[in-house]
Amino acid sequence: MANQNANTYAVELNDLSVFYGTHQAVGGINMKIQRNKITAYIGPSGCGKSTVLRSINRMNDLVAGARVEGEVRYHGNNLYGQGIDPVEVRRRIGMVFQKPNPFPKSIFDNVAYGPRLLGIKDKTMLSEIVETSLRAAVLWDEVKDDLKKSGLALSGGQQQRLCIARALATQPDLILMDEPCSALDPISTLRIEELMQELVSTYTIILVTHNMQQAARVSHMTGFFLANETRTGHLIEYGATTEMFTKPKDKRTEDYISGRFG
Amino acid sequence: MTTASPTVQSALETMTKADRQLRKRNARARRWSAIYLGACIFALIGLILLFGTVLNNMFGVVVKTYAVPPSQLSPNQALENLSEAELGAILSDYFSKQNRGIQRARVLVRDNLLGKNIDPARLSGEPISSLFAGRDYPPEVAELKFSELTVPQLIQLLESSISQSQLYQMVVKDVLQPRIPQSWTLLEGIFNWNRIETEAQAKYPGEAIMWHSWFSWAFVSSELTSDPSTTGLRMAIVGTVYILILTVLISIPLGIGAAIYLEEYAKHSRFTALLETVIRNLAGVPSIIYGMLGLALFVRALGDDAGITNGRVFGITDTNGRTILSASLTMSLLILPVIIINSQEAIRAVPASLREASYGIGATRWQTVWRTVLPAGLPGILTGVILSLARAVGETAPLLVVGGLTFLTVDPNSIFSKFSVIPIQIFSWTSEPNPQFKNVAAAAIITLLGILLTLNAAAIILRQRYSKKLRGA
Ligand SMILES: Nc1ncnc2c1ncn2[C@@H]1O[C@H](COP(=O)(O)OP(=O)(O)OP(=O)(O)O)[C@@H](O)[C@H]1O
Ligand SMILES: [Mg+2]
Repeated sequence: MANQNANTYAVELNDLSVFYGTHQAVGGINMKIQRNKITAYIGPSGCGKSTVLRSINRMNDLVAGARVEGEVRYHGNNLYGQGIDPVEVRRRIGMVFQKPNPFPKSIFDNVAYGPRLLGIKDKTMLSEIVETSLRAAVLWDEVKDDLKKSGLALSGGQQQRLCIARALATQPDLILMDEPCSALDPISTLRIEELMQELVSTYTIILVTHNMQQAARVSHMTGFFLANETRTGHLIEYGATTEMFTKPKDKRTEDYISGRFG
Repeated sequence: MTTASPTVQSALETMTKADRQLRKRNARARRWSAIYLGACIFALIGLILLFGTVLNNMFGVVVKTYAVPPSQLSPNQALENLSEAELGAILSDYFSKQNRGIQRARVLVRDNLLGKNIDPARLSGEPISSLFAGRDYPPEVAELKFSELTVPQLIQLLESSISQSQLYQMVVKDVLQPRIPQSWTLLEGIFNWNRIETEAQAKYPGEAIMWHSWFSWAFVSSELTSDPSTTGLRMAIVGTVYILILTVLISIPLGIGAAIYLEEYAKHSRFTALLETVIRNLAGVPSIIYGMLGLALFVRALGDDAGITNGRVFGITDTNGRTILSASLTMSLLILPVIIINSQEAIRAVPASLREASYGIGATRWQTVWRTVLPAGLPGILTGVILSLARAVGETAPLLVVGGLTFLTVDPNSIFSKFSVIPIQIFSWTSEPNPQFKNVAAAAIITLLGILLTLNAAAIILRQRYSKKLRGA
């Protein structure tokens, strides 16, 4: 994956369509994701936000019958091109899920999971990676004294930050977050939002959210998706968040943001 | 009061009706719970009867007779407390008086000190100093040949090498020769003690009657004999343990591997659907049919013909295909479907979110299975495995078909040995005409139940320990 610096966009979606069996879930998506920015995906349930997100790190490959058409360019390379291994893609592009899903292992083992997959066994090296990742996820101070404790023994918000630390440990440069705060209380939500704003100086983040305030608060760019009569999702409008929320170009965007449907 | 709208009215009516029916509904619930309680009580009574019968046969009252009474050998002290020298004196005294006593003494020395299989040429040709090189022996016999030894000298050799308790066992077996000519069950002993006493006095005047447990360490550790008062279960236990271990080694990797393949790798197709249906149905096939399969496949084809399960290709020539290996392969086939089904369910119960987490970090399928799916599914998998092993331990029919023996004179010592197992031994004892074998069978049943309970307890403990760990406690 060469010419990392030649391109100002982290990801480019070119005429992307995703099918589940015969059902087309999304179609004709064109989108350029800027580096070191938070891009929010919003839209009513079932419009294909997760589907688009999961096609960026090829998680959809795991769904039987899922098929992708079009291009996903990551630093200029088509992720669906020949010779691209989805395992490598998923290591480079971290993912955080809606429900915190730490492994039933210790905090240390959770964060070290990724590095160990890559064959790192050296204890001091692992400890270093674990500490760096936990610090980056602003969890270090809370857990540094009991790294041996099970990841499941943490609170929901801490678990989600643990999952973020786990994703950071394989040194991705793009992080996909699918409604990372929807299972959390307001305080934990706030902490994750702060964390995102810290991370964005080094990482590119794509965030799916149902929370308009959240999108308005944290994101730089916003994409609005909507499904048509055949339940196929399309990108209706995409632009800077401030503009989208103050003077949307499309009537449907305005209706959705002002809470008139969805 | 304002009149309610028609819909509300009808809803209210339905509810009043339902209220009137409440008594009926409650009565129905009570009836069913009474039936369920009855079923539980029925099962409990069955269980009590089962254990009662076994215990009633395992304990009881016996008449014990001796060829030479212990009080005559050692009037002042309990026989088992005598010193080695005193026990030796009893043996040597007894064998000197007995005709053919010297032969018996020679057999004892040979079997206990030199090994049954010693070359007869060495025995007749070499002096004691070379036969017993590096061991204790009285100096005066050093130059003698084995056949020139007298009874006291033979016994001296025994004394210098074996322990007091072994000597005591020899005295019991060769001199006392205890026999149990008649026995009564536990209940008979409790309720009819007087009748038993008069009956015993009439038939065996002067002999005492006593309480007796047919289950004992001696029973568990002795070899099989044809006399119910001395026979033991050791060979069958060794056989059962051998087959259990070998079955574990064969069926666990295959079973869990197949489950992983079906759940994590196989694409859902008509072929895999068919495969799963077949496996599910195989779990219900009667075990004797697995016995027939084992006989045809492992005993005949792979054994007598191909020479694998009887060890011929490994240079073992003294057995046929009816070996521990054949039995274990048959048992593995028998429990594989159950292991596969249980493991599949355990693997399926691992939350999809854990798999996603693993894949999302960049794990391959193999890494996800090994590092996440298997550890999380392990408690369920282990429980299934142990429970199906417990089933295998209790199976009789297929092993009878595959050639389990009811009378075995040596311990199995390799996977190519002939074998017996506990349930086969129980089966054979219960079909003996001598009623005392019923007592022996009861003792064997208790041993088998003990093994089964241990396995089940292991399943429970493993499950709890692991799921506690997974929950993060
Ligand atoms: N694994 C799947 N198999 C089949 N169809 C799927 C699958 N996942 C999603 N779909 C379909 O794809 C469409 C888009 O779903 P998706 O999950 O991407 O929506 P979403 O915008 O993320 O919704 P939500 O806001 O509720 O999470 C829906 O019509 C859904 O039914
Ligand atoms: Mg979604």
